[in-house]
Amino acid sequence: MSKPTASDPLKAWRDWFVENERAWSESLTRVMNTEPVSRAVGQEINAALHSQQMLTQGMAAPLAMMNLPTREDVVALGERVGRLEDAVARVEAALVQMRSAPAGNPTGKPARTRKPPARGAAR
Amino acid sequence: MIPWIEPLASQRADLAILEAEMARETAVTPKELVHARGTMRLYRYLPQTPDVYRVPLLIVMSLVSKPYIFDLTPGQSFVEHLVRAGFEVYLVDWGTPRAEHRGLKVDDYVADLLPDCIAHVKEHSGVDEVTLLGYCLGGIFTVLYAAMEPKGPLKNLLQLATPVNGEGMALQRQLLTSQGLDPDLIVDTLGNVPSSMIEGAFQMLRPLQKASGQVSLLNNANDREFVKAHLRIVRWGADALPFPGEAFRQLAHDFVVGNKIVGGEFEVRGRKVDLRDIRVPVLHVLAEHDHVVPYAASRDLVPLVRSRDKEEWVIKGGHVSLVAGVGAVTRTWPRIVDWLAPRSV
Repeated sequence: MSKPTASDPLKAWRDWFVENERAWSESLTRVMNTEPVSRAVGQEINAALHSQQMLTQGMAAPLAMMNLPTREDVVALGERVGRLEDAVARVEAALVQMRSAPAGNPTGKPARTRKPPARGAAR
Repeated sequence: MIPWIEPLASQRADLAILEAEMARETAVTPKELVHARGTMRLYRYLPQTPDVYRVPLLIVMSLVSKPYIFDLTPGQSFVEHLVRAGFEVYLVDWGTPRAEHRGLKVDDYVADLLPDCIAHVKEHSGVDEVTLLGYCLGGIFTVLYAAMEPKGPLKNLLQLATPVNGEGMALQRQLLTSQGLDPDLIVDTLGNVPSSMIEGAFQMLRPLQKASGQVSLLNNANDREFVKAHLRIVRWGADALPFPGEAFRQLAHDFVVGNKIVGGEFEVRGRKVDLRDIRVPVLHVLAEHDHVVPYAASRDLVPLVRSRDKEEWVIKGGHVSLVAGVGAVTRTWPRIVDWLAPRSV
């Protein structure tokens, strides 16, 4: 472990934290792995999901009134961009295929003749 | 003028330069797009040796992580290592699922998309055998495929940190069985499970890791290479992908809670899949301190398969140590190449 220096007295604390983090994390995980805590965490996530759903439904009308897009509108736009990306990728793959030599005559492709080095040979 | 404003601004500018530098250096091993279907992309890395091993290798990534972890940066890239060792490497990137993909199940990946990739690898390479490499959740897809197609084109099965025993996923199982977390509610409400939830779930498995990483970064702030190496991994961890809803539901019910994979009860397209049907050579590489896929979740794979040629290696380190870091570059990858080379001719 590094010794503290005059310029950085907190380094010893930081080293100590890093060295012990794994054990502390495991202890915390063990606590989360207990029935009451895991149930509480799960219920918290479920409650957050319900709130999000209600907020999303509640915000749709006010956003429309303000002439602003909802999250769904933005997601839909993202989906259209995603589909365009997919289409471009299909064209790219087709071009790569056209550029490749016909099957059975793989010009430019290396021979598939490689053998593993003999045991004990220098790597 | 406040005295600390100027150094802070300069540090922010340095960080921006570093980010740009890292972005330029990530995933740069030359590759070409061989096949695209929906969000799925199949890439082939261009060979860099005069000759290659006969059998091509197809890397199958997890659904929730981006595949650039396999091609982090020159000198620390598993793909680059394999290509330079003489393998023809293909990689399937599942992409980012959109709302329209919420219905994708494990069945679709195992019985449709993965076989489609394998068919394209066979066609493109002209070889009728393929080695599969599955990492984490991608490993579940490859073992299920291998068990479903015992007479198929599979030559070898290379698994990295593959969970097969749902009971070993202790925290996830506890959350799902304690009548707290409801996977059906998540999927019915959100469709796909958002990436923020995936990242949160990873953090829950080791709650102080992020803080420890930041402290470690402070301790090494003057070491530019350390900072870059650290930020690369942090950036990848934060770059989680949404989980297709139905696949999440199926894995939560049938794998984590039902533990059907080890029992041979997991169904793909109505057919029960039994890992005992796997007969090809299998290597499973695990990490000693893997908090994402604990040993209890992954140790059953090798005893279960009926291959005569099968091995399990447990290496030092955590989940990411298998595919990145000094130990991977100097020890794990060369060992993997030594295992794979004689089985790829």
